[in-house]
Order: sequence, then C-alpha cells, then structure tokens
Amino acid sequence: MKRNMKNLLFLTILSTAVFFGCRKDTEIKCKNYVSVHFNNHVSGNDILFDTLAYTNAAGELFSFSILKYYVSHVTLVQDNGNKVELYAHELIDEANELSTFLDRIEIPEGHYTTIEFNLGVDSIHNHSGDQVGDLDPINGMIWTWNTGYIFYKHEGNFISSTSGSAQPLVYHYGTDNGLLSLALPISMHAFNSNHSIRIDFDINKAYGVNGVLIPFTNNNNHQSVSVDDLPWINKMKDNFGQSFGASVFTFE
Amino acid sequence: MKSGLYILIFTAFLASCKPEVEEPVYGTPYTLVIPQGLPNMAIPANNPMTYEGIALGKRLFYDPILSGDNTQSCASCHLQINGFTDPNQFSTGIDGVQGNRNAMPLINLGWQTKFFWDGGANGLESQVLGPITNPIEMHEDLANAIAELSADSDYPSLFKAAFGSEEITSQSIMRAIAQFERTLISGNSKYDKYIRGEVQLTQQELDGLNLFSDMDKGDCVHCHVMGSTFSDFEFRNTGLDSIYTDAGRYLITLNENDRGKFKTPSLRNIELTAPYMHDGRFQTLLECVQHYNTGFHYSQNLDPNLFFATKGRMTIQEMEAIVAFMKTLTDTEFITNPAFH
Repeated sequence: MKRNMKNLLFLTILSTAVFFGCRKDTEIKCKNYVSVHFNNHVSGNDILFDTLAYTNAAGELFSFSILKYYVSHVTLVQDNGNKVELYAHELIDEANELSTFLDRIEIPEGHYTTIEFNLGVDSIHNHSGDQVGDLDPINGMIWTWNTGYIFYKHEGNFISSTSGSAQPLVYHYGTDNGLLSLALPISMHAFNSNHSIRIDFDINKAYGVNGVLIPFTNNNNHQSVSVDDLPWINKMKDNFGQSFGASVFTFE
Repeated sequence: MKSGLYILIFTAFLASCKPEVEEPVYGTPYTLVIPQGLPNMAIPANNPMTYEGIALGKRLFYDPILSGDNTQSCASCHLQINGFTDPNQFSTGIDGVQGNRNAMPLINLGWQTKFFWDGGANGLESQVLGPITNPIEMHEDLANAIAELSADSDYPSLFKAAFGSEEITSQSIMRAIAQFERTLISGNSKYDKYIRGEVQLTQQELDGLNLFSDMDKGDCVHCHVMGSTFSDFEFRNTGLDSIYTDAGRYLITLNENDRGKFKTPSLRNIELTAPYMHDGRFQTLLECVQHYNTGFHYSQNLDPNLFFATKGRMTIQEMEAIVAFMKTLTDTEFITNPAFH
C-alpha cells in the first residue's frame, strides 16, 4: 500500500512535469524545474512503523515509532560554480509522506554536478523557538530548556542480541556541533526539462553499516546535550556523512 | 586592493538594495514608559508591542488553558504579590512533581537576553516554550494548547486583533506572552524615589547603600550593578557548594568553567522573592549576606570577586544595614499594579 502511495505521488509529479514541459520549437520561453524527494529506508527496505522488522549492523532488531529530521539549504551547484538554493529548512517526517516530497522549483538552465544540503538547522536559526513553518516548535523537534533543534529524531524499540525483551530506543541528535554539510555528486542537464532528484537515506548506515558501529545495547538513550553524548554525536555525524546518495530522474 | 574595494562597494550596494521584509504590524502600537534611571529597552523588531498583544499575553499568562490538564497557568508559580515568583522553594507541576530550582522572578525581563537560571533560553519569546511544555511544570503539548485556544469563543478574535490572523500559532502565543512580560517593569521603589529626590533614606539604609558598593565590605555591585537593573545578568559561581550538585550554566555550554554558575538575579523587589538562590536554600536576606560574608565555599569556578574577598569582613550591624538597603528596592506599586493582573 505504502509502495503504491509512493508510486502514485511519483506519477503525479511526473505527469505534472509533462504537463508543464515545453516544446523547443515554440516561442514560449522554456523553463526548467526540479523537485527533491527524500527516500528513507533501512538497507533498501521501506520503513513501516512500530514493527521490529529491521536489523542493524550490530545484529539488533529495531523499530520506528518516530523518524523525523531537518535538512537545510538544499542547493544545486552548476559546473560553472553557480549555486541555486532550492529550500531553506525542511522537516522530513517519515510519518507524513508529503513532507518527504519537496516543492517543485524553477531553476536556470545549465549542467548541475552537485546537490548540497545540511543535515540539521543552521546555527542562525538553531537557537530560537520564535519561528514558523517547518521550524515551528509544534513539530516537537526542539529542546525548550536549552533552546535548540533536534536535527534527527528516531524513537522506537530494539531487542538486544543477548536478551529477548524489547527496550525503548531514543536518538535525539542535534547541537551546532552536529550540523553536517553534505555534497552529493549528480549529473543533471537542465534545458527545457523537468527533474526529480531522489535522496536515498539509509538509516542503517547511520548506525554503522560501513561506518562506526553504534549498537543500541547499553546505548539506547541519546539527547545530544550532555558532554557524555559528544563521542556519540561525532560518530553519528561521521556515519550520516556516508548515509545519503542522490539519483536524478529527468523528464522532457 | 582596489578591486577589493569595488567588491565591498558592490556588496554594500547589493545589501542596500535588498528589499527589507517588514512584517505587517497589527493592533495599536504601545510605547513602554521606562522609569527614570532605567536604560532604554530594546524591543525585538519582529515583535513590536501593541495594546492588543499585551492584553492577549496577559490573558494567556493567567489562563490555565496552557497546561496539560488546564489546572495551572504561568501565574500559578509566578505570583505578582511575590514579585512574580513562587514563595515555595520548588514549584510543583501539574503532575505533582517538583523541580530542583526556585522559580525566577519576572521583573524587568526586557533588559535581559538569556533566561532560566542557566541561560538555556536565548530570548523571552523562546523562554515561553520551556515551562509550558516541561513535563514537570505545565506539561502541555503545543498542538493541544493551540487546538484548545482555537476552539475557545474569545481567543481567535483576540489573536486576530493582535497578530492579524485568527489562526493561532506557537509563535503568536510566544510573542503575546513576551509582550506582556516586557511590561512587567519595576522602577518606583523607595530607592528610585530617593534618587529622584522625592524621599529620604534612613541612616541605616544609607549605611547599607554605602556598604553595598564598598569593595572592602559588601562588594555587591560587581554583579548586582548599582542603580538600574541591579544585575549584570552574567553567570557566576557564588560559592554555594564546593562540590556542585547542580551543574548550572555548564548544562548549556558544556564548558567546565561554567560548572556551578547561575544567572545573577536582579535585586529589585528582593524582599518579596524569598526563598533565595537558584535552589531556594536561604529563607532570609540576612542569610544571603552572611553567605557572602563568611559562608561561601572555595572551588575552581568560584567567582574571582569572592575568591579575593576576605571572609568575615562585615559585622552583623553592617550586614543588617545592607539588608535594610536591599529592602528599599521593594516597589509596592509593582506588586499591586492592576495592569499586571
């Protein structure tokens, strides 16, 4: 069902793109559009909530009750160095599929080689709750006693490989130190064309597939705001750096 | 060099051409009356004061609708008669749980930039979120508060009058309460009247005033800056413990030098805001002065002003005079002002 929903959304975007696409032989000034989709998965598996269906690199079964994160300053870079910022701050909430499909944006023609974004909220916006939209504190992504946004929030349960009972899992990742800039290579020719860029985010890589192993056992409650959390933030930051990939889909 | 200058000029030109995004201002502009002796207050450009905003903020401040079970309001733990603090050592939240710090008085907040004892909130607007959502305080979910306010018969029109839209947001709640809080100005104590030449201080109060500033006696003025706010609003370790039970400012900065440091509170209306210190450990002002005379503990982060202070430098009469002076900072107009309740 969920897969069908995704396909439906994708088709909607595709058909919208075709509808707005222009022909090169007309006098109408042609335009280029791009939209970005954040596709969250666990080693290629779709995310279903509240089911202990996933196994991390440490061999522990785990689940999701919440998966939300902020991306900021999503920017396309052309081969001549020109940059086009598409989105300032966006909250990606796996429970709200629409939030994973970001708005279609008109872009200048050119050859785009990189998509850049931050995982997290930039330090200028990170320390005030007096904000609207995706940064509205109502989204539950802010520490109110030490004003700052939770950049990545994963809550759920896990079963340790050594004991059979499910325990809660709380990973709240943030702080200015945790802000991560990512730059993913793409190859996208924007000329009278419409594009969709899919950013794949493998949650398992965040916990150590190919990276620093972060087992949940004895390590299941992280709030990012005590000094004890610093080593964890740094490990997670390294892992996040390897957790994202980009693919471009082009429609004339 | 020259081309660098051109770039600078060009950048300046660009910056000046950038259209300023002015937020629409709704409501009737309100001009704060700043008492003589207090500095001008910087109002955030994105939250200008209006009569409607202040009235809405006041109503929200006193309305238990902002707590999880609609039993407590901001005013439950910030009582005007006590200088908008809680006479209890620790406040009890809606779930019957107590915190571990004394509620802060709400006086002259517009001159402060960091809030809570550890400065964890960077603005008055952001501060509002803390007590409302804290599970051991009002324990409310913001979405729930907004739903309740939106369903109320009065609030949507009050929000519209203040912010131009009936749609209630966490931002408009924060901004309204912050506007009301900025009006909580105290500047008409006996001390203020004395400075304005309207009243005389007693001999004991005058002695206290001098001892308060005397670097070899009270030496209070380093932190409780004389004359206006009576606080530097910095974070200091006042030697309450040699082993810190509450890490204070460290919890926010993660800087070891900030362990056991807390915000310097204003001394205005200090007579009304017992108990004292971040943990409410002292019941009387004399105990506080005694602490700074003989009671403070040495530790790595002890404030240098205390580190170099001589223990036992004041007599009991001198300490009592300082207390008498501090009581001249009581502003009875502030605690009875009908605009605040």
